[in-house]
Amino acid sequence: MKHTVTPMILFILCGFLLAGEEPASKGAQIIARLASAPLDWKLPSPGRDFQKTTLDSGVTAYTKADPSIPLVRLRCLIRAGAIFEKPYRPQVARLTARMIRESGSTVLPAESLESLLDLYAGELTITAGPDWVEVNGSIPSNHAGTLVQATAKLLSRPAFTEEKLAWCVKRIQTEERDAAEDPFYLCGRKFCQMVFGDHPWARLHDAEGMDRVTLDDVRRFFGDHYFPRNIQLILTGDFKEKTLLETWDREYTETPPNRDLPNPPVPEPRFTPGVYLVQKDIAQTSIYFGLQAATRDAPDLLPIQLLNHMVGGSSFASKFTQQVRDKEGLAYRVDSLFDTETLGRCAFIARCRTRPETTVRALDAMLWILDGFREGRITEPDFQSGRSGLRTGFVKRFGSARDVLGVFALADLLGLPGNFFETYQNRVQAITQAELQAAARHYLDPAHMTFVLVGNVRPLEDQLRKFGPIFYLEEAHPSR
Amino acid sequence: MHRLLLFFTLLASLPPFLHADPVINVQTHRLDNGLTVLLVPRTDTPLVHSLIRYRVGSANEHEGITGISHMLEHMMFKGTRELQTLSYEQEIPLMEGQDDLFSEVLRFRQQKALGVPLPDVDRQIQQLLFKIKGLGISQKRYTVQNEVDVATFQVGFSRLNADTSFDRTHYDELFPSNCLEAWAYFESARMREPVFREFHSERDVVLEERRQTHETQPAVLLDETLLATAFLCHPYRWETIGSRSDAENWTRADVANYHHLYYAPNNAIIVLVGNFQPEATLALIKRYFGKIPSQTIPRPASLAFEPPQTGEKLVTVHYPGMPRISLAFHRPQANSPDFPILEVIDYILTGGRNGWLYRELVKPGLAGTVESGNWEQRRYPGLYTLTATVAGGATPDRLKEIILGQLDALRNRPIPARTLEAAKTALAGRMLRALSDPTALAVVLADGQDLFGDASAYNTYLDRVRAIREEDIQRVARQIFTENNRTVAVLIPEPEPVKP
Repeated sequence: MKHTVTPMILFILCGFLLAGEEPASKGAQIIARLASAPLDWKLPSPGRDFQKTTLDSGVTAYTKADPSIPLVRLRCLIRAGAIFEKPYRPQVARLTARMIRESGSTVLPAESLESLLDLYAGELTITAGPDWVEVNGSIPSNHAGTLVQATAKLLSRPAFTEEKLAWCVKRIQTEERDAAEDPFYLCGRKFCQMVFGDHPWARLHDAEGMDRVTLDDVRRFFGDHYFPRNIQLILTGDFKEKTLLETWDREYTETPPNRDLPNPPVPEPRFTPGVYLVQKDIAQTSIYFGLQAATRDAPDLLPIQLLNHMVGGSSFASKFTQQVRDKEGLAYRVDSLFDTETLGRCAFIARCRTRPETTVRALDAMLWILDGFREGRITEPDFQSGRSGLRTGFVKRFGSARDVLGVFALADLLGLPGNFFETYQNRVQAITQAELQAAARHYLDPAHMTFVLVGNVRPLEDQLRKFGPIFYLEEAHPSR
Repeated sequence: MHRLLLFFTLLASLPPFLHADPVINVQTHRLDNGLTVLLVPRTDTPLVHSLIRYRVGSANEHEGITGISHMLEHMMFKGTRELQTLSYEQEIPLMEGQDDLFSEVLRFRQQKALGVPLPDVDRQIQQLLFKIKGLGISQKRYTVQNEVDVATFQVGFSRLNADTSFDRTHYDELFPSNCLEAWAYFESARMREPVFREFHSERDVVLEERRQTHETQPAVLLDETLLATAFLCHPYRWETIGSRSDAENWTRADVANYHHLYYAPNNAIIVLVGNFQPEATLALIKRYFGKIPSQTIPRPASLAFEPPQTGEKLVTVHYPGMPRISLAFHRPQANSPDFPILEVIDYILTGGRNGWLYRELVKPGLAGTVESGNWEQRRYPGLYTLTATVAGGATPDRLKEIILGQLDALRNRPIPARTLEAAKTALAGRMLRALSDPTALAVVLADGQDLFGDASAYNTYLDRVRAIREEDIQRVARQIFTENNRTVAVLIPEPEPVKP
């Protein structure tokens, strides 16, 4: 689908194409020269920089002790996110995670858990995301054993009760109702519903239908996904490794039996092209547009990452920000998401907020930038700059022991090849312009895109038709 | 069951608080020009976190230029005489031309505000703004847009951001250690000679930010009204983003003057945490920042003392959104001995799942959330705010009644020793978490240096928390939680607008 733009907008947009041909200023040349020395850094590796152990139970533990601050941090990654839900049991992943945290364990009631955390300044959260559940906790190191014990008990013997289920359902419904008063959040929720259709991710930010989930559903989901082999345990901070892992092993008993790791269904992409509108009489339009795109095993994974980095994933250095925010002053924040570190099929998402009268102009500008990538209008200096940023910025993922262990645990969880990180920078450096363009052509077809807008959009209906057929979506008033 | 007994026995017997105070190896230096430099070298990371704090925020503003601290923060990303430009000299007349045209705009606006009859005034203003845009487009021939971001990201920076609050402005960056000199070059250049190009389009961005973060957000609208009601004269009465009308009328000269007044080395603190060699880094900082002259910083806003409140203030906001209620009380500044006591009180009320207000409001389903706010007001006496969203058929009045009941309990009933110890330990734990995170650590050190004259003030803070007794809680609660010291703001949604 081609987009028509007015001559004035075309004139402004041409700046985007020319921008990359501008020579660097003296200051930029100085920055490049001053940062040209190679970074003295080696990729961390298990055994040398941290320990990776398979515990007797089957849990994989990643540990790195650091006595500098008397604090211990615990993190668990569990492949038990929304992607594993059955269509007729919406939000069961989120409810299960919430209930584990709120219900306590059969051997550690919720009230006792709260008292322990309260007395020892511990923190513990359990949240379900699209793919996995994250457990995050921390506690002063003299009470590290308490946190490890509590977590092991919760993850092995949670005390699910009807009373807590009803309470958790009500809490999540209230939270979703509160969150939806932010029009941008509401826009994201509607976008997920439209783009993911029957997939569980369509309900990521939606409490609809949660009443149908029973306690048996929660118990079954727990048994199917919270088994030891499916859990990765990360410990960093001031602790004695052997002691804490022994504590974990001692308390992590009566677990659901190990089984093969579940593989979530990854359906072929479905497209719902059109412009979906939620009318609200407010001073700003929230915009989400995009489509289902790639899986993590896509052969063009790195070109996709570079594409996102250059389009809208690198904050102020991205083309979206340069054009929509800085050149035209249309939005405060504009960005893109293309998160391939997922078990399913990720979406490409472009989004921003702008005034009602500049809504169409902002959409034109963002689509024009995508067209530029599709049609190969990216200049060589721009391409090299983007590629260099992706390559040199890679090190940010290894900023602390906690980061390092998180990266390696995630790689295992996603099943990334063993040398994925070792070869990453060289593989980024090898990406060509043609590969970048091919990825843009393959994934960013505007004719397949879903546009969702929330705001005072009714007066814009005629102008929005060029992006696709118009549909209105219902919006539950948040105060109800 | 015996395991449970064991737990409760443990609860009764274990010593509270920390078994050892944390020690951060921070090196403090002061350059001849007054610049304070705090260095925390680390070897376990390839990265460096940098934080530059300028001791200026919206509390330094006055009406007419509210929000200018934040606008200046945006403009600091527009380059220097060397960066983001192909020819600064050729940009000058184009920027001055825009300034002259905008002076005309302001003249028309002033006359219009005074009711002076002017034919076609709106059209004339529009024409002038169009001409300003035209000159801006001409200037683009010489401006390398976003080069600050592109040039730094290209060499490995992964964060280059800033934020403005009531009392300070932060510039924070994250970069690989081989970029340290590039960082010093860039930061010293924009401290010394920033160029405020693209001023008018950036104003549009800030206005869009205001729409996004304030004008379409019920919670923030309520807080904005609360501040304006609670304070009579202190600059804490406006939000950091300032008023829309002031934003529409700022000039480039306003921003330049403000930078000149406050962005001096003797009003700044640099914190570096990460992989660097401290002696060499200090020498590098001296080389790049040492020649920037110090200057006299204007008198502090604290001279605008807020007079004591003499009665409860009530205000209602109508806006579509969740009904909610905020109760605000004037409270002491961060370096007051009573401030940590209020933090303990706050934890007792809102901390964790055992917080009294969580227990009374959220657990029974009367409120969706309850939280405290306005902690960023630190240098001068500010507000302590409790906000709850209404749920489960409750009303704002009902929530107010319950909150006041809990505050009365703090004032008049003994606090269980275990509750007090848990709150104190929680504050210590919160400090440990901050110290263990490089970004948060930089803020803790800057806070210590800025507010207490000692980067390691976190240790004194822990001592002060450790020493808090039950009678301190009651004394501070009785001082602060009075009717005369209270402002109550309620948000009630309007009826849903009729659809055309």
